[in-house]
Amino acid sequence: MSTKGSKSKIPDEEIREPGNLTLILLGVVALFLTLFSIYSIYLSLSRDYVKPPAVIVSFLDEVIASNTDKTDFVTVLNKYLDTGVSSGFGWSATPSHNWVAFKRTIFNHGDIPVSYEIAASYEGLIELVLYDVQGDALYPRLTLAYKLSDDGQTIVDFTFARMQPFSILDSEYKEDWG
Amino acid sequence: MTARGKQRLLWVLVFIIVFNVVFGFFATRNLGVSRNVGCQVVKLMYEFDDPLYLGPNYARLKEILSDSMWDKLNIDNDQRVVNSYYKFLNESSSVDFVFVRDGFIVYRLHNDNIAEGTLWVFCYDIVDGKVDNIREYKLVSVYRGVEGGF
Repeated sequence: MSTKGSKSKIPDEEIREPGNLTLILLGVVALFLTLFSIYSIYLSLSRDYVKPPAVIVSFLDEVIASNTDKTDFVTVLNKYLDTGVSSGFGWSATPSHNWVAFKRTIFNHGDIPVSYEIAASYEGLIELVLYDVQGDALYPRLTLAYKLSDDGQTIVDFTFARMQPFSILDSEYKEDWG
Repeated sequence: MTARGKQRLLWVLVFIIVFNVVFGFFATRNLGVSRNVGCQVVKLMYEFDDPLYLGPNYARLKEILSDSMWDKLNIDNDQRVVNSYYKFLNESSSVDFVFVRDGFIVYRLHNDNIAEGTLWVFCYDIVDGKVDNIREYKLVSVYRGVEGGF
């Protein structure tokens, strides 16, 4: 006897009907697990990464564009930094220690940086890679930890530093940092 | 609802449950562990009474690190030891976390031979539940505004 093309169909009266309580319990479990999965996706997407604040991006854009010109640099700092911070630079005809320190952090890489990339951004801190005119990365990387004013328009405090790899096993490590 | 409809609903619900259990297993592997495990790695590496007796710490690290990171960072790697542990000069050390985010940790080391204010950075990724792509930095040419911004 050939069964080709035939489709067995169980009559409705022979189907074992699941109980309502079973369906309700399974429905609750399925709903709970689905909500948990959605929550997991949300957490994995949000993590700690944040978009860098506009004031930080503008500040860096203009600092890089100042291209070591002290007058431009001072203008940028006064524009974006809270007076409590910018006054610490002690502007005068003679470059202050603070001015030299700040300038050294960003410009003293052997070559002048003309652009940058924000390699990582967290709430309150960004990691930067600077690039020269040929588009080559100028290591070491930089980090800027910041606090903004309540309106988010001014930098009220910060730490700006080079991230120097201390292991020679690090691909970015080199003996001479310029 | 007919018996056939209820049976179909049953199979749909079973499928949803199985799918979510499998998906949830993979989705949650890297959740919740990242920040804690980063701090844990830093403490296991740099918090000790005597750097000559780091064996138990590194036995634990082997379970946390990916195989490639373990090859690079284990204490049998002389280059790694010189770079990371020479600065302690056989004195005890403790860690003080300054800034902790998933994948990016800033910390201070309390050791008689390391300047108290020096900041160190530990960057990492979590891959398949293991700590991978570790990058370690010392912050130099540090310029602080008022108190630092951390």
